[in-house]
Amino acid sequence: MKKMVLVILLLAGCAPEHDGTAILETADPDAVQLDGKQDGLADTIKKEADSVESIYDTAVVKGKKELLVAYKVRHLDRFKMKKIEKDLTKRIEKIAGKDVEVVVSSDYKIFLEAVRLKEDMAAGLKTEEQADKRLSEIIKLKREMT
Amino acid sequence: MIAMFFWAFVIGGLICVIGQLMMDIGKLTPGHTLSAMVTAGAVLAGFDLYEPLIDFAGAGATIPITSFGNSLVTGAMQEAEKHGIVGVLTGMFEVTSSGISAAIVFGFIGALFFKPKG
Amino acid sequence: MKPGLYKKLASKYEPKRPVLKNCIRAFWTGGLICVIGQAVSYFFIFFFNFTEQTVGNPTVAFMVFLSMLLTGFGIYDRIGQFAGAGSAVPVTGFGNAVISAAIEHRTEGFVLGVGGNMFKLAGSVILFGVFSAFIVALIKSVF
Repeated sequence: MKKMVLVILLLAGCAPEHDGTAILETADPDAVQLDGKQDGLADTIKKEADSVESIYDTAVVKGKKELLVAYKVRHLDRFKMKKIEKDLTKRIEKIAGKDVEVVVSSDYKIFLEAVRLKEDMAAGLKTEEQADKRLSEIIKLKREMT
Repeated sequence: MIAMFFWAFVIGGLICVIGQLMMDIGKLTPGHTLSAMVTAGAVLAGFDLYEPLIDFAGAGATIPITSFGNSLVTGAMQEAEKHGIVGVLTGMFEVTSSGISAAIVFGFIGALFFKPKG
Repeated sequence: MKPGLYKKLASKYEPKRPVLKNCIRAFWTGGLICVIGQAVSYFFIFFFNFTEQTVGNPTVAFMVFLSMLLTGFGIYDRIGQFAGAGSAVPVTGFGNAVISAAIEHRTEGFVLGVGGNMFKLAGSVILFGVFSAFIVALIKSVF
C-alpha cells in the first residue's frame, strides 16, 4: 500500500517538469509540419483524425518523408483498437498520397513524445532538422515489438 | 489514464475472483488452478481475444498469470510468421522471457540473502 | 461403514468455505496488485524509452523483484493467507512460488537444494503454459 502511494507520488511529483500532463488530460497539440511546405497537410490530417468517432485526442507530426499520427481512443472503444487503427490508416493514406510514409499509433508513449517534440519546437529548442531526426527516432521506437 | 487504472483494477480483480472460485467451488489446488489459468490464457490468445483485453485493461490483463499463456502464444506466432512452423518452437520464449528469467535471477538472489523462515 | 459414507461424513465436518468473503478479498487485493503494476508501467513509459507495447517485460521483472523482497521478509505469505487467489494469480504469486522454494531449500545446497527445487511449485505452470501454447500456436499457424 505504502509503495503504491510512493509510486503515485513519484509520478505526480515529477510529471510537470516532464510535461507528462499529455497523458492525464486532453492535450490537443497543434499539428507540426517539418517538410518546409506551406500546404497545411498536417492540419488537414489532424482534422481528419479528430473526426473519427472513437478518437478524442490526436497529435500529428509531418516530417520530410514520414507522417506520424498519434491518437487516444475512448476507453470503452479500446476493445476494437485494431479495427480503429486499420480504418484510420486507410483514411489518412488516402489524403496523404503515395509518397508519404504514414505511421499511426495509439501508444501513450508515442503520443507523449509527439507532444514533447511539438513543445520543443514551440520553445525554439529544436531546429526543423533536429526535429525531423527525432521524428525518425520516435517511429523507430514505435516499431519495436518486444 | 484514470480510466486505465480503474479498468486494470476491475479486470485484474475479476481474473483473481475466477481463480478463487476455481479453488473454492471447483475444489482445485492452487497448482491446478494456476495451470488451468495459464492454459486458458493460451487458448484465449488462440482466438485473438487476449490482445483486446490488454488494450482495454492494461496491467489488469498483463499482471495475472493468464498473460503468461498469451505471451507464449504471441511469441510463437511472431516467429512462426517469419520462419514457418519451426518458429512455433523457437519463438516460444521470445516475449515471455522476462517473467521467467526475473523469477530465476531474483529467486537465486533471494536464496543468497534471505534465510528460510519457520 | 458403507463406501462413500466416510466422504459424506468428512465433507459434513469440513469447515465451510466462506466463498463470498474469499472472493471479495481476492478481488480487491488482486485488483490492487494490478493497479501497482499499471503505475509501474506508466513510470517506465514516462522516464524510460518504453512504449506500451514493450513495457510489459520491465514491469513484470520489477513486480517479481518486489515479490522477492516481500517473500524474503515473510510478508507475501501473510498477504497470501488473507488474499487467497488475489495474491496467487498475479505474476507476483508466480515469483513468490519460485523464490520461496529457492529460499526454503538453500540449506540443502545451491545446486541440489536451490537449483533442484526452485521450480517445484511453479514448474507445472511453465509446463502447461508452454505445452498449451505450443498446441495453440501450432494449430493457428497451420490454419
